[in-house]
Amino acid sequence: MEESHNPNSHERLKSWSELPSDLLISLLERLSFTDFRRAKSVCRSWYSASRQCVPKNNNIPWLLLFPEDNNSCCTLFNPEEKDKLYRTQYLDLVLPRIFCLKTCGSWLLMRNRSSNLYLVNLFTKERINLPPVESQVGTTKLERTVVGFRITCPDGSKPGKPMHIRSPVVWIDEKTKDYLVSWGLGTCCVVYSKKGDNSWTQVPEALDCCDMVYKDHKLYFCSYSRDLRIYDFSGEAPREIFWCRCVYVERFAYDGGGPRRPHVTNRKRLVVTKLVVTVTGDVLKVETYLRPKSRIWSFRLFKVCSSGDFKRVHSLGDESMLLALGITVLANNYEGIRRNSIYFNASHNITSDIFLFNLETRKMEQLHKFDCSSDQLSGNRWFLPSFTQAVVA
Amino acid sequence: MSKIIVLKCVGHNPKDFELDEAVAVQFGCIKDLFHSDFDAESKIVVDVPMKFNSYIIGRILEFCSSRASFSSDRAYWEQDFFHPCREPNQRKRKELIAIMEASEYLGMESLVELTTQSLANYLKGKNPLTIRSLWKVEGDLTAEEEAKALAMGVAKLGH
Repeated sequence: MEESHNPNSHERLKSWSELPSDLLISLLERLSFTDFRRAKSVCRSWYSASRQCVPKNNNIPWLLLFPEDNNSCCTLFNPEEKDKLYRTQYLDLVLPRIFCLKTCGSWLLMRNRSSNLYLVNLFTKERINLPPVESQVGTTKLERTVVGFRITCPDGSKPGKPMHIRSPVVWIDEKTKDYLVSWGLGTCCVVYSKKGDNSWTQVPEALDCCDMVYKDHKLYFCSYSRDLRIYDFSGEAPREIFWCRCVYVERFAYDGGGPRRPHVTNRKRLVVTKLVVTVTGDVLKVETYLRPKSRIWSFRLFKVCSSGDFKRVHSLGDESMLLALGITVLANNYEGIRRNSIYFNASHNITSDIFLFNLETRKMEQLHKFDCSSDQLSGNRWFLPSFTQAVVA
Repeated sequence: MSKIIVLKCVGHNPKDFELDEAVAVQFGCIKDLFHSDFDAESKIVVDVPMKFNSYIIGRILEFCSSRASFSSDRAYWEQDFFHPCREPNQRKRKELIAIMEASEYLGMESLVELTTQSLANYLKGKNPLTIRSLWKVEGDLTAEEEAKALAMGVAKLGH
């Protein structure tokens, strides 16, 4: 490099690779997970400095994209690096999208064809089997029959409705493998299972589950019968810490055509109601609306107050909502996530399209056009991968 | 009657900077001197190492006097001082690094913090190739080593 006739130049650095290592370390430690990874591959001195840094873990939500064909691996999308796609290493890890119920960190809550649940780690393939669903502790009985399941209510009646696993939630500690999985057993009750349990324990007061979110060891539950309950799971048994009666929660209407619905109007229709817990622990009720013909989606947010009233919320401020995960994140921490927006799937059907609804403009935008003509994508799940086990030293 | 500290810069453009108390206390290495017992009239001379020239020290003092004056425009001024909104050219980057080192030497934690954060911001969102070309760093890792550095346990699909 041509040195200008600058008498100071001998005192100055010739290039960034000569930065003193303690300052370089302090610099690298401020970078996000993705930026850190890119910076350490710049040159040898930066690489060796990076090895002295406190290891960074990923905390931006990624998208897990499922292949249409169950024999291919999953694709991973990082919103901070929109021009790249990653692929999982294990080809023999079969992960059909329709059986992936929920995610927690790098773990997926899966359901197999006999409706039994298990947890699997996307990167290490480690698997934790959960108790068979018919192993229930409580007054509602579940029996497995040739054709499916039969539910017997506490009062002895046998509802004809099929056994649904409603709004499953999962939490797992990546280090200790302590976990909690919970779901609504049809209209009857909510069940949960923790590490060490051989069966599913019932929570009988939580009836007719509409949606649930599990965050910070608390289970947030809302039902179609207008109950909102919060349970504290940090102790041995769940403890109800909040209950209120809310405004009517409209039932989910199936988005089907058919003889009973010959005309599809373009009137705004409530499609689904979901529960979301914000970064600060506020509980939001989110109503999703769709104009069927034009396929335009919109949202209404309500904050649940302790009195049971709902207050309309028009902005998420610096937060961003991941509707499928039931949480908000602070958008300022991430480059690829827009603030004051709701990230959602534009269809219940098999699709890979994620859209965001910008709460300021009240318009829909597509997150990213996945240009994968060869690998058809059959759907997606948000997840928060932790790369600590996967990082090559 | 207040004590005076003199920063003596040697090198290309030797200059002595006189600091009053309000400014000098911001330097961690100097503020102890105020507590020691010495004659109020005398001056204390601090020799600054050769690699920190007077221009850099001058910039730092500009920063300190603005801080000391608690002006309301401070945040705006600070942003301007570190020009984070524009991609800085080579000279400005070197200046930033020099300020970072000098403030580390002088014990000004807040300034070290600000400069390091500004520099980190310049690295955000950039891939290694861009970083190398912008800042004239030679990529001396082998292809294998580079792949290892970028690896996360997942293979890359496409480019």
